[in-house]
Amino acid sequence: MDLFWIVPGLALVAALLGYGWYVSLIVRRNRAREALSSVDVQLRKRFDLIPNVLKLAQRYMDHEKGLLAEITALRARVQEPYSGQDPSAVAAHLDASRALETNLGRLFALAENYPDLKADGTVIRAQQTYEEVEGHISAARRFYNSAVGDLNNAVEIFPGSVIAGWANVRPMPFYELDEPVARQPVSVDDVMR
Amino acid sequence: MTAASPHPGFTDRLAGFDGHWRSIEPELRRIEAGRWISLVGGGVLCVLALPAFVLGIALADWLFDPAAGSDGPWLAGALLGAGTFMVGGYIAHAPSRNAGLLIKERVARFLGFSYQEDASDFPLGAFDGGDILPSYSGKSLQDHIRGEVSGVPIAMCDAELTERRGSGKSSRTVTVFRGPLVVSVFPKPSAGRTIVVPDGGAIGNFFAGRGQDVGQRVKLESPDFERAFEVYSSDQVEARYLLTPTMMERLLAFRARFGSRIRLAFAERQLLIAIDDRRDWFPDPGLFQKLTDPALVREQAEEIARITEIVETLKLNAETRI
Repeated sequence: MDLFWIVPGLALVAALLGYGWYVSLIVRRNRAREALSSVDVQLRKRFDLIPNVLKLAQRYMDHEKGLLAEITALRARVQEPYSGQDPSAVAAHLDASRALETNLGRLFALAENYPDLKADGTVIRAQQTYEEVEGHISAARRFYNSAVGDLNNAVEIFPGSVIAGWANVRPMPFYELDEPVARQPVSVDDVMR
Repeated sequence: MTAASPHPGFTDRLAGFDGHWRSIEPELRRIEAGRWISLVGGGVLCVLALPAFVLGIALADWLFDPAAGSDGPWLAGALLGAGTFMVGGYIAHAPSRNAGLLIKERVARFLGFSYQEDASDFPLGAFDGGDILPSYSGKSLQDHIRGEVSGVPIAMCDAELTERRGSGKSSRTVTVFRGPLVVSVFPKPSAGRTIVVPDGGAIGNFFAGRGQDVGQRVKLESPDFERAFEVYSSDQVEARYLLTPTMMERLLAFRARFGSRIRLAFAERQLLIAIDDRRDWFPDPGLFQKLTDPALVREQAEEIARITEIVETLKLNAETRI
């Protein structure tokens, strides 16, 4: 009699726990997608800024045509639609954004070599806006990585890994800074020269 | 008369203060001369409160019909006794109060601030989101100090907020907040509202913000910051835009300097700070304290100069906006 109730009771508890785990996985996945869309909102701001920056740069930076063309191509790649539910598509989208960010950083660093460009009021304002936008992108990236960290922990740790497999919830890629220059130690001598 | 401080901005601001103190000294000496007269006169009036109470009863008894059996005579006695006591206390405290006002006003001016004893025009409304101040029914705002520190506008006041709790005979007034409120400008604009409150532990954090519109909990990367604070915001991205890793370090330094009972809110371009350290930041000198004591003035100067530390510790004037 007791066993008659204990077995279905345990099965019910296991089912409820499993359902709870499933719900938390879906909540985390949706939070990561929400964070990804926040990243896209911020990337859009950078995206809108690029044509103006390129137009200004073209006026002065004749020798950097290769870099300007590369930025234009990367902008087009970032603009391509992608599926937010496919981790590999998300990774490719984030890779393109990262490359665009690196090249824009290079562009502004090279602008230091062009005194006329540096002195242009519009360029100064554009650079300030760019820094503002980069600040927001960095914040959105931190939000996204935090949400992805939570999701990936839940997906990769047992028994979450089993339930995630059934529910087809997959880990998502982190949006990491891919700028080797930023990881290198700064030489004060070079900066102060 | 110099105090060592680990904050360079702090000592810099008080440089030359000793010379300035000498300009206040003659006025303090004049107030000090009358202090004992006021103290004795006020004390005598306080002692006379008891005879005044008895006199009040007798007068009322004589003027009104005692057969009526009302509480009138007792009330008249209490009024006369309490009135005499209050006038006595006012007279006794007058020199300390006047010296305190003079010192605060002059010290604030020396440090480039303006001082006003009445702080009723302090923008308390900015704090009324119900998220960084507890609910209150009574308020006492004083010592309104305004000015700029390194080009950053700042205003502060000393606040005591109270609330009536209980009902009937068990009803009592409880102090729910005591300390300075500060309004300053933050170099980054924000469309939503982000608040930083002390960490309440696992259980405290679970119940924190329930029933209040404080926004979502924001989990940040720094373990030290997460141990010290809880962050709530109406916008997850904006919260991280405001609370960069550098800003988190500054807030930890701010906590180390001003204690753990600090609450902050970022709204539009304003930074609101509430420090519930349960003390009067700018107390008047004591009744029996010598008003010409240089340490007294120096103490007030250091307290007012602490306002500059708020801006300097948080680097609110940072043009790098990090």
